[in-house]
Amino acid sequence: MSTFLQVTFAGMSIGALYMLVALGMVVTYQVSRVESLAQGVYVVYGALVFTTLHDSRGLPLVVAVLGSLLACALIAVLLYFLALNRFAARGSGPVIMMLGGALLFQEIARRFWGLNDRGATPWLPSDPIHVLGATVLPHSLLMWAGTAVLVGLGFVLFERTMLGKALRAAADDVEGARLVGINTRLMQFISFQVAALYGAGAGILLVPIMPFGWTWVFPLAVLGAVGAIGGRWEYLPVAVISLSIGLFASYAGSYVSTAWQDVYIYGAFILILLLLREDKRAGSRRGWRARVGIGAPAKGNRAALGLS
Amino acid sequence: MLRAEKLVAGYVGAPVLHEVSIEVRPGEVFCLLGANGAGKSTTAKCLAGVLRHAGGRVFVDDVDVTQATANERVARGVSLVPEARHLFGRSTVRDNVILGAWTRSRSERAASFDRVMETFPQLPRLLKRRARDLSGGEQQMVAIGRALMANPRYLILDEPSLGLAPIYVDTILQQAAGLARQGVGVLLIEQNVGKALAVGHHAVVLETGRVALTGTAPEIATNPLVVDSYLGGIA
Repeated sequence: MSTFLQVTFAGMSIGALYMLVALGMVVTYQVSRVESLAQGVYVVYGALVFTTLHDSRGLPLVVAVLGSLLACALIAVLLYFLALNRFAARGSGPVIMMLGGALLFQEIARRFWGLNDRGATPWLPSDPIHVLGATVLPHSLLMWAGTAVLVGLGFVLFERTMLGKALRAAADDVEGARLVGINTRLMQFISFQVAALYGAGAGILLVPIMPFGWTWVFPLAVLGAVGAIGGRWEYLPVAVISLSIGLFASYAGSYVSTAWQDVYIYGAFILILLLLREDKRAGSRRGWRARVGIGAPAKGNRAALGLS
Repeated sequence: MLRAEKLVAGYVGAPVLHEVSIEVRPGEVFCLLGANGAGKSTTAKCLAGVLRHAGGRVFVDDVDVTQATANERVARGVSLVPEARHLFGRSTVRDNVILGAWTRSRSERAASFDRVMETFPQLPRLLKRRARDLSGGEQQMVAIGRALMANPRYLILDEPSLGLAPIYVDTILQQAAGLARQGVGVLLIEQNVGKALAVGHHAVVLETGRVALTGTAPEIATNPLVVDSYLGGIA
């Protein structure tokens, strides 16, 4: 029982990370129709900038957190203009630009912070808390609570505020949004910033218990995409699927083999894709790619930029 | 006054409008008529800022808004209800209507919401339903209600009766006339020429992107060309 609980705790932490990455991708995709393959960049930079400011420079915790958030916000600005400019916003241009952006920031991280992963010194007490024979670190509790707050804030933003309704409207019908006076480009910009906040939040919350480095950029993007596609780009389903992936990875790593952990996740991803494809054959006339918008957003991007 | 001066517009490689000029005054229904492909919807899109025009200028109450974007023109008092409606299908009717007042303050929003519910008494019972689940007539009411939430001085209705049952057509055209009586300038693009002219004050007939006829609604309604082409020979 205690082993199972221990493994579950580990899975919840990694699942929370996947959840924030996937939800960042969902927000970007839903509003801007861009599959954000650079989502891992926010996590890595959020973690490493925080570590540098807090541990290396000795700046106060709040300053380090704000500095890290600011860095990710600036990266989001660059990625936004990279992906959604009038030259890139056609066909698969935005995805390619996000991919290029991720490569660029990955290389910068490698040169600036070196080859090895870096962790931050825990700022909460490091004594584990005992729960039914298992132990959990205070930082893990903070990670779960922080994730719950970020996911909850996102939910409230989208469901309860005018800004959230406008973001959803811009995602739903670009021309309709412009007709009611919504600046759809501003909404897209905000979606990039929300995604950066999710990513940076994940990095800051997790780096005291899990080191990060340049090698994390693309695996995180892929794992986020697994959750996002598995949850069909819908906010709450994606949150549940991503948490499940974290738990699944933890159970598989503990009870079967750690070395095969990633294989299980990607295997599950392939299975999801096959099931969705099977769903298409079983009766859907448009297919999952059309339903989630993959392959068809080119016109949407151009319309959003007022180019059509 | 909503004024278009010598509008020239079109799509890639296909010019549609050739120096079209129209004037919509506050408090009147201005009918924009013509066959399919004459350029009516293109004119509407240019006025609303949805489509960039290659030439000409657009004025709202003598302010040049030619360079203004669609969202800026909404703030200046021009709202378009497009032919395709462009509702937010996954959102509720309430959210669709509320978003119409995106450019306005919270208190203005509440007042407009009450007024729209009074204007369309069928809407309150639909508020919790998703827009995509409504009938065509219900969607059209939501689309017009959404546009009215911005408290427009000029409302452009592009084919509001398209695909609707006759009972909805009459209701919507009467609503358009009622809005004009409240001081709103209504630009009505309508395939049902007879019914449009019955509620209209002035009208323009477009043919292949050019103004073919212009005059008061009664003049246009009795013009032999219009009678033969659009009213089935019944004057």
